Amino acid sequence: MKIFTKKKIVLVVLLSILMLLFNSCVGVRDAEHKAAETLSDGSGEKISPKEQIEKPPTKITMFYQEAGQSFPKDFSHKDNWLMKALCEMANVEITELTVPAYSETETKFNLMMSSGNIPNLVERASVTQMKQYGMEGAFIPTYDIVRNSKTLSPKYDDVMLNAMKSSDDIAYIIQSLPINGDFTTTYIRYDYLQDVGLQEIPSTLDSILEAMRLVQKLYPDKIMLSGAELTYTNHLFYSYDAIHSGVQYRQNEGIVKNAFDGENIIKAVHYLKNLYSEGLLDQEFMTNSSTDYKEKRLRSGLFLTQANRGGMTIIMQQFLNDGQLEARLIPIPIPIANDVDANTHKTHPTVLGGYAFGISKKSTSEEIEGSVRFLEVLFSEEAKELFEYGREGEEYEIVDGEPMPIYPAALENAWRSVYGLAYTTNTDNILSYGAKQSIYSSTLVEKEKASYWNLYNNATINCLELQRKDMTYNPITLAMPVSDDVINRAGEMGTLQRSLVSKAIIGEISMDEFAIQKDIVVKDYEDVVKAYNQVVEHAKDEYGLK
Amino acid sequence: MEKVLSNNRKQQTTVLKRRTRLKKYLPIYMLLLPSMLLLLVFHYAPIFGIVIAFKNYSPFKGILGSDWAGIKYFASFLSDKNFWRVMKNTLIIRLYMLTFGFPAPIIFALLLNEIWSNKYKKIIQTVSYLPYFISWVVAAGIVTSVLSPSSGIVNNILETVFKIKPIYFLVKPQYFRSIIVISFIWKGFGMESVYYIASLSSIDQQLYEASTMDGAGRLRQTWHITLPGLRNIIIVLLVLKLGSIVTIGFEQIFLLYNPVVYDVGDVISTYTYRLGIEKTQYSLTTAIGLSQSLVNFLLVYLSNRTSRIVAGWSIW
Repeated sequence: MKIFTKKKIVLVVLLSILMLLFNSCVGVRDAEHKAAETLSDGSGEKISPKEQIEKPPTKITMFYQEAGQSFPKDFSHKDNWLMKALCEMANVEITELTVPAYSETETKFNLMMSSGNIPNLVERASVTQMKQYGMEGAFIPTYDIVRNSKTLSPKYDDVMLNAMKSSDDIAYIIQSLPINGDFTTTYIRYDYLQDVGLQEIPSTLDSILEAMRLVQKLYPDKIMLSGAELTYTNHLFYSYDAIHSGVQYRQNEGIVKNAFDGENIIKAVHYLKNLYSEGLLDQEFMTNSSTDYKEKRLRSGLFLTQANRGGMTIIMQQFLNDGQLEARLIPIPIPIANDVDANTHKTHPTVLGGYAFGISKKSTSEEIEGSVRFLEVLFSEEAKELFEYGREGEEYEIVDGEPMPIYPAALENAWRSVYGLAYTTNTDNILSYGAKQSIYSSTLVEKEKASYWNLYNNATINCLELQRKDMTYNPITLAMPVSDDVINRAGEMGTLQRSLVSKAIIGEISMDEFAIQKDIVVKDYEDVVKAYNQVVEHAKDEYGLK
Repeated sequence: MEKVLSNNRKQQTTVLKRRTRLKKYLPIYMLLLPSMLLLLVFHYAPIFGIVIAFKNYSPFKGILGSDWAGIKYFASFLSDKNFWRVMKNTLIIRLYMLTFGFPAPIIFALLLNEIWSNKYKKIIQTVSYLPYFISWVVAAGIVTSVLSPSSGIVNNILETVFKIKPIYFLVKPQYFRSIIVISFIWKGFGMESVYYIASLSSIDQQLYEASTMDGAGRLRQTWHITLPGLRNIIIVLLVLKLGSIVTIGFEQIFLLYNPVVYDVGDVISTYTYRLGIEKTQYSLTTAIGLSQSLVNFLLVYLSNRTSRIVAGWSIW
């Protein structure tokens, strides 16, 4: 018995030692990087790229998220001509590159950050998250990096640098420049309108509804509108100046309100409920995955699609490549409901873009310099040209002083123009050229190409003009992150909101029941709205916003 | 003196026996070594990480560098009404799975045992195993297709044979739990029946012959011979299943649920996924996971004791 007890004690002690050993290995890794930390303050001397040419390339590791576009089969994010060109310009060698699939980005990113194994250069389209991680110790301060860089410094004024700061008043990220020219709106099948004899593009919710009914009658097998749960139906909520979940900055009132606060959400849900009852909204939208939705968009001929301008260049290409040469997808301004007192055409440009770069605190000074050089290349005119047009002689040639795409290379490499990294630069030209490329690379005859391009371009210009007429900053995008508790509460609130909206649309609960439940949600989550209003007020004061 | 010498001799004999045993069974110990290492490295060593539940864990400060938070996160989730909602759903779905899912492989094994033709027996067995090997991603796709209101076979039958309008099953809260339980059983019963089929083969056939001579029919034989023969394996599997009563596989629910059925389908694993992976609340979700493990451990212990008292047999 004594021996048995002794054995138990020995076993427990051995296990404890084993556990401590494993965890001390992490400590050793941390200790190894302590030396790097003293060098990682970003204030080292800068050596220009030209001087670096004679030095061997600096080895760095990287994470970035792609922009959701399609890539060719067997495509390698690390080993393609664009990445090679960027690395050569920066004199770096990317030894490890992580680019998760678009739909898995958040999960993979969080898992990577939680492991503590952070690549030297991280890019992510979640500025709040990156600021938070920076503040927690993931990234180095970036103010000096930007100010000391000949490429980056001219592009960022003091307001922008201020906007990059975390709540401890230090900037840990370098945000992309404002993305002008991209917008999310409703895209309509113009060819269907012609099939039912409608010459005018519908601009109100009623005329869209009428058009859908006519098209459905003509093509009973086609689906007019679909979604993946509530995703891809947001544009119809915008028509009522509403969103289906979360909190919303109400421009007219100048405060943040619960998405369920007010009557607009009821009107929006009611509209969608009617579409569902009439069979105009896909009867299975609630169980569609993102893949199912994209398949239906291509095969079931959706009349209405919600997309952003960048994504639409790819979608147009998919239709044309699929042999659906008659498909004419054009953007229309989001129609505003009759009884809504809001200008939903109003766009809210941001002081900065929605992508953030961070340099890992565990990087050595050499790795920091390499990462900075790579960033400088991304922001350079040479890289911009690669993103926009490709390589001269390969993807484009100059004809009468204008870049003209060379097919099929321009099309095969179209992924470069909506590359995740391309959002460091002005995107208006990229998006325009991308759409033109999609149309002109198809097997349409020249006359039809010109006709489609003019139709699409005119509709795009119309949308842009309407949106640029009235632009104000949305202070919620400039506000500091709220606390973890508020984020949790907001997350649960959003889950509950989406559940109620979904139930109301498919008829699981009546509109009266929805109205009652939504008021309960507004009351129960007042603390979340209050917390957001506090940070927004602070942002408004800091940036002098109304 | 003689006593001391006798004790010394006994110890020497014990050591000698141990060395002989070690030498004799060395190849077996070597075979066991990789599994033991796996268990130590991936199951025992990470136990230290439980301390995250008591800290304001930051991956950049590390476990040791993060500040202590005490029982803050335990208090947090215990006072969250959403946690109790998902706990209720977890328990209900698990109890359904136990009630209907536990007997299913036993019944299947008994029925399979009655098939005389070996050829058909093997075919049925193989077909029953197959769903176990497909991932939940594929299985969820199959379930969604089968239950589709527009093209699913179930609705086709309902419409053509019973003249019932198509039902969008996956968005109906009243059907969702049943869908989860049925798909769970369909996927797993074939593989689980293997344990029972193996046990059935160890039952002495002479008992059946003797009972036939005594005039016992198939049902009596099942009740008096087969089921008692399966008793031990049933107890083992039941105890183990009770040990995971507050745990449901994440994949199945995550792939099949949607916002309309959150009220009835949201379980602890999907709740912790949202908090842990999407909201990076590592300390909170570790606290939830630790509590789950403690409850499961307690249930295993209690069910094992109960089995010893009631059936006279237990795992340990």
